Amino acid sequence: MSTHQKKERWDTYREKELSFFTPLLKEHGYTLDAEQPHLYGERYLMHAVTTESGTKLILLGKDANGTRVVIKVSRDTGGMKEMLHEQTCRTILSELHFAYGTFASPKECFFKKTKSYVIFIQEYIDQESMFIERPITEQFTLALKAFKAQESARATTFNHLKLIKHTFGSRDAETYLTCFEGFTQEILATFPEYTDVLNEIRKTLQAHKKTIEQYGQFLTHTDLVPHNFRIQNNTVYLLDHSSLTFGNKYEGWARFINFMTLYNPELASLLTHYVKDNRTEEESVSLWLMRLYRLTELMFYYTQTLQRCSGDLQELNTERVHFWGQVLSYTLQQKELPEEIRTTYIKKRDTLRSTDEKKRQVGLH
Amino acid sequence: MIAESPYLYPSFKVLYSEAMRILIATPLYPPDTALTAQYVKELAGRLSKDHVVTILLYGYLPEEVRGVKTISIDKRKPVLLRVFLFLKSLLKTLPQQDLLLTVNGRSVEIPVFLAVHTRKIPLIFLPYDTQSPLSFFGRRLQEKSKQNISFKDLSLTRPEILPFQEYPADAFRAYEHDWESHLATLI
Repeated sequence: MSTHQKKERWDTYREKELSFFTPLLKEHGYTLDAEQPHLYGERYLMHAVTTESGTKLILLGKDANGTRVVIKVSRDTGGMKEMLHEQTCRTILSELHFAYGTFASPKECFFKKTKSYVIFIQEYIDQESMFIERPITEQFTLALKAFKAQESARATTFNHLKLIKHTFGSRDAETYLTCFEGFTQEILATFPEYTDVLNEIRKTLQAHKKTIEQYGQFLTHTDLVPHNFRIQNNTVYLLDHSSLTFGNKYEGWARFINFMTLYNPELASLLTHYVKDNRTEEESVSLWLMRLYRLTELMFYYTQTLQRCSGDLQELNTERVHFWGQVLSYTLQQKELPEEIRTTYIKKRDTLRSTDEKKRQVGLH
Repeated sequence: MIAESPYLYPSFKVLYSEAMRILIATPLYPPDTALTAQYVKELAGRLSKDHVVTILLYGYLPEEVRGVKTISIDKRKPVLLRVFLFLKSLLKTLPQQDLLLTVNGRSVEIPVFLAVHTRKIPLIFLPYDTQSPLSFFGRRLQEKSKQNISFKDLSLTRPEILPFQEYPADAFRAYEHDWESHLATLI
């Protein structure tokens, strides 16, 4: 299916869902904003790789008192499943004594589940400024605080494991290696030029399997990036609970640091050095391994979108695969990415991004 | 279920007459992130400079300390089974030890209480974890302890090195000083 067809399908879906849910929300006292930034741009291509994922709409609106809220709605089976999973994660997290108080969550305002749809409404956390716009010292402190909160919860005992098994799921070294194989196959089918680097990473991950396992069973948010949390009065509020799982202590760190390699390399470097200065050598290795794993996942993510898009977006996603491929090579050699590669990519990306996507990106991070 | 690591280079120590064989029993140990876990790892590392140290712990794939042997009881087993396995390992290991250091925590207090009644050994009780109230067994162990150990006013947590801040030299000096005082009260 071409980008155009795929986008058209999304546009039809969006309009159909909006006309179904708008009056329903009104009945419950909620009205939608005229501007809905989360419905446009590349939204139609997105879905999670290793966690529950389906189609849903994320909307902004107000309750009867004029208080701003975030509304998630879905009639899609996968989307409903994802929303119910998120709701369960949210509830169970607040009940787990060993994970109690790890994350602040926006207050739940309304939840309705029927056979044919799910609505979830939570308070809108108004933040003074975007994470990326804050001073670097503040970004570092907030990120570290979030990571420390996560890793304070570890499911190690028989009872802990029984509690989390069916809700959050857990990933051990074997799971990471199996997923890595899947990512590799898909990437190499389109980009065989990455054979050597991916083989090297496979060897590295296998050689350090024990280290990956050693730091397992920690609560980790697999998509802890600025658009999934908001900050108010120095408190980090988690917006997406569906990406919580129990896995390697550094999986969340890795995702965040990889993201910052593009958006704020200084912060990426500070966090890597923090681990080197304050934690054991094995932990630095564990972070490095998780970075390699998550970068491969990112390359896989963009590779598998190529069949579903065309034109500028296909060109952009091909550029993305190559950019993250370069980050992967530098990370494998434990070297920092040259600034020139980053700026060249950003320039290219900005010329290829659609107007809608540029609009969606405003204020996202 | 029970995993033992070998001692790494401890044999020369037993040549010194003052070197003791010390067993540390603990409910928490890294990769667990609790302060107690960090304390035990640091304690074992420091004691192992002059003594032969073994750690009996609940955990899985514990972090290694040069010169220290670890015996780990898999925490993922049901509670009664793991306490039983801890007791079994304790009874097996104690005859080869000169001193037992026990960190508070119910899962350790009960097997240690039972073990010290059958194997006579000098015991030091370490109530480091203030979050964990002492059980009946913990209170008895505290009475039996060779020394009354207090952690009050001691900074035994490693200072953090943070960007945008000066290297915490004073905090590291205080940390080293407090560890020296603490070790002096133990041995």
